[in-house]
This record gives sequence, structure tokens and C-alpha cells, in this order.
Amino acid sequence: MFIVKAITNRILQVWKYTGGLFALIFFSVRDYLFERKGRHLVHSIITSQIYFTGNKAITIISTVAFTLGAITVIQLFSRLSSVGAVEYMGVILNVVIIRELGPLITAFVVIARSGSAISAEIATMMVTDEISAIEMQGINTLKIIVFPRIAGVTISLIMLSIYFITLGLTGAFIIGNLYSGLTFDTFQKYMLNSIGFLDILASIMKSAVFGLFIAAIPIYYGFQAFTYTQIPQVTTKAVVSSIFTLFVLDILITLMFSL
Amino acid sequence: MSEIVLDNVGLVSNSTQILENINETIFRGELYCILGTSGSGKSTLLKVINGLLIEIEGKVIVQGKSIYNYSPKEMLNYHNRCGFVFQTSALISNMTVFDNLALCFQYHTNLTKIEIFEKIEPHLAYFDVDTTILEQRPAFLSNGEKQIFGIIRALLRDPEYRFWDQPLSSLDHIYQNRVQKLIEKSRDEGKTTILVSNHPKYALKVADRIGILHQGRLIASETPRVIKKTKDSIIKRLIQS
Repeated sequence: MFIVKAITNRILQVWKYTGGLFALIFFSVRDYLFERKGRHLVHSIITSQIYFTGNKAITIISTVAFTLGAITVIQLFSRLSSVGAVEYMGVILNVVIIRELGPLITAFVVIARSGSAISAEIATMMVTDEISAIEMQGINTLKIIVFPRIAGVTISLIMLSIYFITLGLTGAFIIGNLYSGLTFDTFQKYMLNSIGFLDILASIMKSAVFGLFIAAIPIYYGFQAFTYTQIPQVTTKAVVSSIFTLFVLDILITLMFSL
Repeated sequence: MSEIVLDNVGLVSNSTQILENINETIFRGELYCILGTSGSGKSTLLKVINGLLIEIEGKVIVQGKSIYNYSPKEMLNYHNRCGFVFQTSALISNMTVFDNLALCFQYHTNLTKIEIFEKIEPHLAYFDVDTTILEQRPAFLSNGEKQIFGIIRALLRDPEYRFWDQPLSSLDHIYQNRVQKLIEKSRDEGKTTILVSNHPKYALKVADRIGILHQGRLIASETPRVIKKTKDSIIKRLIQS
């Protein structure tokens, strides 16, 4: 009986959490699209969010992307050349950098930097009554708190992901050239020509979906804080939950594009 | 004419009964003061009246409808007619003071920055506030300064309902006098005003009616004259403090 109750409670919790996330995304987007009031204010907050999430993450993303591209090409070249399969390097680089690790690592960096910050920021605003103060001015918090963060993080993640892929491939070419004399023609033949429209679409779609959820999850948890001691708790929960959700979504989208 | 009706209002948080069976009617244009010891639920009750807390017991009826049954749009309209002075001032910490004051105008209107400043200026003048402070973030202000800006923000749009949560607590006596005049002005202008106060003498002087909260229960709701004559030891101790 106890087990049944525990399972039922867990299912209800997951249902409430999932429903809460979808409601945050759906209602904030709806309110933005159908209510013109305060839109210029929303746009300026989105711009700040993009600056914070996107621009401020460029250094770390550049380092990780370039290094990953370089490491991958060194490892692949030494392994594949020993078995005479260098022509597969492009396909593997495509899968590693464009389809999988580009969106995934970018999302990790954004969770670590912005996800935790968003959660702590909203939790603090909850505890200090700042959210209530905004509501008490007849201002829709879904529109000026939730939507700009979701939009800002999603746009940033797509842009950072494209930047990551570009820099990853550049790193791969430069190090490939220095390490093994890889020419641009060879790189283009084996690597660039193996990139199809579906690869780009899968990568952008992953980034967009990741962006929606890794913004919505910290916001959701941020709104659960009512005392100062809950701020670090909800921030930790937000990061852990974002990482878990990231992998679940990655599997789902990868399966979708593999069918 | 009744304006705000509390019908069996209660609130349980973390298995603790914060508010219990509160029944009260606040009339239009009335200045209603809530007194009580620390932790008696005064600020919580004010938040409940404004729909800021969810999952309450009972009903808070404003103009014939329970606010907890309001649609999000109705709630925004209700809040748009309210001014709430928070005990902690609740200025948005990642905005400058000016942006805090301008936020409601930026959201609800298309006024330019200069036009917004013209709306704010008389309030700043009333409190003799140096305008250079407007570009500061709230973190760099004293608690008293934050409280002043919290009050200005609440009154900027000349709201119909005014809720004051211990507005005098962080202020020196000069500012206390000015804020007290603003509270009295609200009453004189016929605005429905609820004041949560820890200054019983002031409440007895200005209130139309006083509600006494004790351990989450409304133990008295009378005019100051009746409250002064009470023989209840809890109330006596409270108003003599």
C-alpha cells in the first residue's frame, strides 16, 4: 500500500512538473504574441538576456569548440589512417561536432552559466517580494520575467551552437593541417561535403528545444523559492534537472532524426 | 458600500495555521488599520487580500467576485488599480531606481523617458530626493531611501486601493511625518486604504476602524474609540506598547 502511494505521489509530482514547464512555455509565448502591451520592454529584456547568455559565453564556447575540433581530428586521423579509413573522418566529425556535441556542449555551458543564474535570480526575486511588486503594478510576469528569458536563452543557444560548430570545424581544419598536412580541398571533400541539410536542421532543432527547456526549468524552480534557505536548493535542483532533461531530449530528437 | 470582503479566510503553510477564519468587510474609502504583534499574520493577510498567495481557505471578495477566481486578466486589472507598499520596499535589484519607478509606465504606456520623469518629479520633490540617486541600483541605498522609493512607486499611478505594509519601519521621524501625511491624504481623497502598522498610537489617531490580529485570528475589529476602551488584556497590551 505504501509503495503504491509513493509511486502515485511520484507520478503526480512528475505530471505537475512537466505540466508546469509546458504551461510556462505555452502561456508566456501566448501572452507575448497576443498582448501588445509592454512589448518594447520585453524586447529590451530579451536583448539583455541574449547579451548575458550569448555574448558573455563566447570565450568559454570558443575555447571548448576549438579544442574539441582539434582533439577529434588528431584522434581520428591517427586511428583512421592506421586502418586506411581516413575518408570516414568527415562523417564522424559531422556526427560528433554538428549533430551531437555542438548542441549538447553548448547547452551544458549555458546551463552552468545562465541556467543557475536565472534560477538564483528568480528565487531571490521571489523571496524579496520583487515578483509580487511587479505583479502589484498590473504587470504580467509571464511576459516580462518568463518570456524574455526563454526567448533570450533559446536564441542565444541556437547562435552559440552555430558558432560552436563553425569554430569546431575551423579548429579541426587548422590542427589537421598543422598535424598531418590536411589540405583545404581534402577537408572540403571528406568533411564539408558530408554535411547535409538534415544535419544542420537536426542541430538547430536540438538547440532550439534545449533552449526552451533549459530556460523554462530554472524559471520553474526559481518560482518555487519562498525563503532564503531555499535559493541554493532550487538552484541545484534546476541545474540537475536541466542536465537530466537535456539527455532525455537529446535521445528523443536523435531518435526522431534517425527514423 | 462594501469594497473588500474577507469570508472565512485562512492560510496553512508548512502544516502551520498562519491565518484562521477571518471574516471582515472593508468599506469603500475607509482607512482600515491592522495591528498585531510580530508573527500574528498582518503582512500575510495583506498579501492574501491582494491575491499574492495561492491555496488559501475561504474567499476574498472584491466588487462581488472572489479574487482567487479571477482570470489572469482580471487579476492584472485588479492589481493595476492597487498600490502596495512592501515592508521590504521590494525594489527590483537589477534595475536602477529610475527604471524601478518607470517600469509601470514603460509597461502600460508609451510615454518617453522625459514624460515619465515629469510624472515622477513631484513625488521626488515631496520627499526632497536628490535626482542623482535615480541612476543608482537599490543595493547602494539605505533602507530608508529604498522605503521612500517603494512608496513613490506604489503611489505613482494614483491607485484606487492602497495597501501599506509597515511603511514607517525604516524611516526617520521627518520621513515618518511625510508618509503619515500621505496616508491621511489617501483617506481624505476617499481611497480604500489598508494599513498594517506597528505604531498603535498612530493607528488609533487616523484609522476609521482597527482590526487586531492575534495568532492568525482577528480578535477585534472596531473603531479606535471602542478599541481604546477595551478591557481585553491582549488588545490593551498591544495598544499601550
